Amino acid sequence: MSNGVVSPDRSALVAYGSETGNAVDCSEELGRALERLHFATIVSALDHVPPASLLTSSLSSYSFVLFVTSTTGQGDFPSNAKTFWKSLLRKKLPADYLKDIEFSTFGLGDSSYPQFNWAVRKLHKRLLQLGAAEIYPRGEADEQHEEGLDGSFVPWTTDLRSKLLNRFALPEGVEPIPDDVLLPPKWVLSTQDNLNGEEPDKATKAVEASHDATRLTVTLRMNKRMTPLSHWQDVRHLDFVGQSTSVSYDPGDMLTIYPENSTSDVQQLIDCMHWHEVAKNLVSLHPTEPWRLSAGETPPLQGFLHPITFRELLTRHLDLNAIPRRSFFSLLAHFTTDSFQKDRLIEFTKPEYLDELYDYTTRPRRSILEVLQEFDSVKIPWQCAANVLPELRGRQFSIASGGHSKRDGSNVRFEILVAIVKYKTVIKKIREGVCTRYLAELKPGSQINVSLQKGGLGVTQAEAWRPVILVGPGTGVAPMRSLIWERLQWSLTLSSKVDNRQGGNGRHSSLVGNSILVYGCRNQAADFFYRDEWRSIQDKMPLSVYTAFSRDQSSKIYVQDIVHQQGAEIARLVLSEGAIVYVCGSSGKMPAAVRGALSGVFEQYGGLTHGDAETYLARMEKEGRYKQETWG
Amino acid sequence: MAPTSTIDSNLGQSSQSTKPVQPASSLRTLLLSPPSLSSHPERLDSVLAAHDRSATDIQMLDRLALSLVSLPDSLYDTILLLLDADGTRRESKNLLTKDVLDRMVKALKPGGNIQSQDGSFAVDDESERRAAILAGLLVDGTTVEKPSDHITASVPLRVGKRNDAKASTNAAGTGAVTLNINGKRKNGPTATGRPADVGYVGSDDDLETPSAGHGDSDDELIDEDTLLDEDDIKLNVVQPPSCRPKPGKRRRACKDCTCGLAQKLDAEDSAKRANADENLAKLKADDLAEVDFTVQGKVGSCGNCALGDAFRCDGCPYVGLPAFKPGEEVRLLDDEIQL
Repeated sequence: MSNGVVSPDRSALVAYGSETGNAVDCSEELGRALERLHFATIVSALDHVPPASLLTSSLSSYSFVLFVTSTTGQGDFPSNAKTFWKSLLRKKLPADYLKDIEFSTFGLGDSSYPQFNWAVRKLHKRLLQLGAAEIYPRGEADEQHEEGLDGSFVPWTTDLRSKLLNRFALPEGVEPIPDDVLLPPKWVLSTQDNLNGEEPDKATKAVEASHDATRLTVTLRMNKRMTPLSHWQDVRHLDFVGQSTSVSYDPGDMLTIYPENSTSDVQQLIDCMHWHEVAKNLVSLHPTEPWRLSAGETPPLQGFLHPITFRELLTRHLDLNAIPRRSFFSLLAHFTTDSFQKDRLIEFTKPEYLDELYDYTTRPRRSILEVLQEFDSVKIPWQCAANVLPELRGRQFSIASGGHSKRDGSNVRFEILVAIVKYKTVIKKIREGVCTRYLAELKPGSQINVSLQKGGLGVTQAEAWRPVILVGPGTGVAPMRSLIWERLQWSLTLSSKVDNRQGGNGRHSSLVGNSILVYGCRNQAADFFYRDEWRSIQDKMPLSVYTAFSRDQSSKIYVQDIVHQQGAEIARLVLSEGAIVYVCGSSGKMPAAVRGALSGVFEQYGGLTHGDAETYLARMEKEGRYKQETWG
Repeated sequence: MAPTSTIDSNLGQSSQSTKPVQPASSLRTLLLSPPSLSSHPERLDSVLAAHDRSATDIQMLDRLALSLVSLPDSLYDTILLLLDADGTRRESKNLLTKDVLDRMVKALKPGGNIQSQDGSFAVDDESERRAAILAGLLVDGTTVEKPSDHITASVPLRVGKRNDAKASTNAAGTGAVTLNINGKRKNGPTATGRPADVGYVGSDDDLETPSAGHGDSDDELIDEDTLLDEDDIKLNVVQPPSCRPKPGKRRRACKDCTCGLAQKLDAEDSAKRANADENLAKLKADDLAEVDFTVQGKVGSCGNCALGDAFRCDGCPYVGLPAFKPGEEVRLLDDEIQL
């Protein structure tokens, strides 16, 4: 073991569920804190640690397990924890299944959502049900806390540390590793020359293969601006095709795009870090201690295939534009000898300076690259680049294609609708979304890697008969477009079957329920996307389109107002014909306002009391007849 | 609708087991009899005579209301509410509580319906109609139906021992599902069950190697919604005492701020930016678009202006500009800064 004093009975697992990387960051920080207490610590995504492995790990058994998870969707687990969670919910698990496990939990949430930290609360409950013992009370971080997630995470960790020191006392003469000593990195980059001819071991290869199996190479065919140049917002319709006969998807599914950093950003970082020498060398990533891989440690980078040059690694796998987290500053402090800059870096990591850190980083959306340019004495050893810089994560976009437009001959086809993100903060240079900037500049003919994610809309042909109410303002129309094309295909398929059997007596309209699209945007002229398509579809299946152009008249009109206006029809379709309601688009006021409008409509036109209308909506959610997918 | 023709649209999957469509004669019916009818066996007999006895059950409504009998799940195509001895529904309506209605809905097959002998159920009486809607029934004119697909979630897509992996993959990937097109609301597969991921093959029931959320159908999992009780949900934030919000500290805007705080903070930030720009513009006028920081007096007395925002004072005119080396030229070109 790295620190020489660890005995096999001093080991820990930090298992996380993370959607955006916050929980990974907290887990890595917990992992480092535990290593400083001489626990051999594995940090792993929950889906990499099936519940059974908690019982029989390769580290014999863990002294304790820390579970860290954020909450996504409607109180759900992040995607890299869903499998673990589902297997923990199995009825057949006995009540003493986890009786030998000691644990604590930490949740990351946002109290402006009603399902605040539900994932961690459910996990906590279920672990207790299965006989696990809590050794330290659950902590819950709140994005809304004035000091952000750290406002709860820092005191929780500090207190946990002292509890653990009491409970698992260190042997005589052994002290915790102090904060100013840099822990040996768990993963290092090395150039091909330094490999001594060794092949990456089998475990490393397997990890790569499993991550890469889901990626698909697609070619961009069209990158069309959907808004007039005079409109402030640049919205693109992108059309990709990829060679595959087996890949398929359903409405609501999402395409993950893996962006690249701009050539100039990469060059600036290389200049700043003095990495010119190594930039063109082929590099690979290795655990410094091979047992970590077999114990299930999640590598810091996924989808990283050997061999690539260091410059490629910086371009495709490391995020130079992320907003730096607190732990980033504590790592940087190890890589400078300039005491003035070092002191400032350490200040930023202290709990009493969380306000300043927020003002410096999150509030103006300052990037890692900009921080490194200011702290110019910091020189990160290139071998540690993957430990210090966060992974450049893929970004998900709702797929806008459906039905017949999902394929083009032997190719699978994906269309997405993307609003290019640009905004100003107190920093002079305009902020741009990493992925949307990348997409905006992508030329037709470019080949990129993508992967597919299941969405939460759960659309199946079995519900073709049901009418649907589609509320999708702005780019929220993308999954609705997918569903509308899908329903058109269902309609054609089902009618042709009826025709075959019944000699085409043409009663097709009732085979697929009515589709009601409620669309909203600013101006009819600027951002009424796909308007011509709706017209052509209306000839072939029952589709009504109701629009709210918020800025086209003196008083603003939104989708929720349209729900009220069309209340009689909507109430009838939902209450009497079993319609499904879909709400997609930007999070914020819209989803709650639409829900409120529906409740009002059920009262007004369905004769329900307010309480009954709410009960009915809750029931719809439970039955999967009210589906919402929103993004920030 | 042509009620007698059924079409199996199971696209090319002839080997996949499909639930046989039951002949009309075997449609199962449950008759619910009000207590007053028990003293008039001749009426009961005349009702029974109209039904296929082998496919018809009868239960007393009062016994059901008292939970003395339990009904089988998802068995009946029709539940028929018999009229009271006096030909009205006065007595039986009182027995039709929310609980009884819920249990009746449970006993209905997906797509099954509830009627009263006089056809008035959930039609004439507004509160009865509401109760039916809230029990999850679809009330459309005079038909009161159980939605066709929310109970059958696990049946067709189940990756069980019987269905091979190929069949399940097809069902998920291509939408090849069994459909019954004759009646628009007959049994269809899953609304709530999500289709398996593309390319997923096989399942595993083994405790030690749970599969990725596909092999276990929902009925083998506990309902995670039941894990949290009212208290768990109400519970706001578990915070160590030391980090409870302190009075007088600045608040941050929510991600989806609707109260105006976000706008206020944004306004502060743009005011700061505008103010800094104004100060920069003054420098520009003085120095003809070139600022030489080696010249004394061109930088603040703190000497930190060149170092970047991490070190600059509050209100520094260089806020938001990159760090620069003293001695480097800073050219201010059309709102763009170049070092």
